[in-house]
Amino acid sequence: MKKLKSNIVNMAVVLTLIAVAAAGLLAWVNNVTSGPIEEINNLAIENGIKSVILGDRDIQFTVEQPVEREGFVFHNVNDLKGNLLGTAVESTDRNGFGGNLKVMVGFDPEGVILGYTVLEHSETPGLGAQADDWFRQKSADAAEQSAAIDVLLGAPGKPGNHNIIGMNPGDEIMMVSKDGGDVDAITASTITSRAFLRAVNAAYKSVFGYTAADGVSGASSQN
Amino acid sequence: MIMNYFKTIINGIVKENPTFVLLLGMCPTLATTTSAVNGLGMGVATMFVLICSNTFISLLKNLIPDGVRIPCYIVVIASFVTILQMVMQAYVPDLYKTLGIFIPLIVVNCIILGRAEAFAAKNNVLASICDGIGIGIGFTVALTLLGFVRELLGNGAVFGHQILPSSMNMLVFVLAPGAFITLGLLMAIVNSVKNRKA
Repeated sequence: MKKLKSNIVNMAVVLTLIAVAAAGLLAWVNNVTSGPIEEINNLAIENGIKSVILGDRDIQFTVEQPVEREGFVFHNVNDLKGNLLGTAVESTDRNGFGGNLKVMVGFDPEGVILGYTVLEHSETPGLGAQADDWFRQKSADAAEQSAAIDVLLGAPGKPGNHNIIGMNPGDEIMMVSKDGGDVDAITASTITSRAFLRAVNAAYKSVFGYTAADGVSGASSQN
Repeated sequence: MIMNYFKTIINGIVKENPTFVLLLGMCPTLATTTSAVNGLGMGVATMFVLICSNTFISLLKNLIPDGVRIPCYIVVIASFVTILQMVMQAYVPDLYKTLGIFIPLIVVNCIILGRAEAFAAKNNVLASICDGIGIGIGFTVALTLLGFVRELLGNGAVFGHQILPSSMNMLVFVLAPGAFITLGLLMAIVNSVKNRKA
């Protein structure tokens, strides 16, 4: 077959036909994959709720219908008698190192952090991307690591605490130690750490109404 | 005849390696190769799109008037990328999460449009498929190698298995400057080996 000439009719017809064929194909693939994609997303949320509220505890539980308010999504988790076990909050900070940082944080009814998980991030692999583990690590197993890096960077730092599980943002200053808070930032990833703690504080604030996060109101809000 | 197809494949891997020789598609090359697995995933994803787009563009080459060939190619390429994106999201969500924005950006990867223009639009279907396989493997090998070196030096791991103590990690290799340094050194090595042969 000879190549079609580039006149206006040929060009319009061919481009339209190709676009229509592509659209049809995509519609079909979308139809096939939308089910599994939704399933995976729901599963991620469900597992997230379970891990941030229950952790390793083995308790029967029910999850209430999620409530959405001011950009936060709340999942109240009850035990079978209907007592509130805790609330899982989806919270997003827009100023991570690589963009949005979306976390889910679980609070017990008093505001103590039961657990967290990072749902979405665009942080640097090996650095900011450690957020998923860093803030639940006991400082001991990370101290060795950060000490080594500190030596490399020529700025020896004291091993401190960066395990936020069990902390209450209402009682403790949930900021990186560089900013005067009680939490050690991920080594060489202060921006990610700040974004993460902002998201956690915002989640706390959205459930319990007030915050100790901004550093100024931290002490005074307890009065 | 079969020799020629084989030559086309080898050509894509060695003589016209997209990363080390043609220096095409540098953005995903530098950005996604923080680990060997990520590099491999990105390479295979690009290879899939490359083979499909080469096939279709070669099939349609006489049907597409020259005046609208670029928009037609882009529509074909974008369709396959979108298919890939949806399929990955549904069946390999972990890899999809890691590669993130770089999957949709395969659309503007100049390797793919470049091969469509330079090869698929001038050759028959079988040869175009071979070119897609060759260039695809070349890209995958280069990305995996780059990821392997960066992961080993930056994280002390090989394909996710920790083999060096974390005190030996050189963070810079996981970051952007490390990508440039590693790429430059690998390119120097590849070229010196090639020149010695010639």
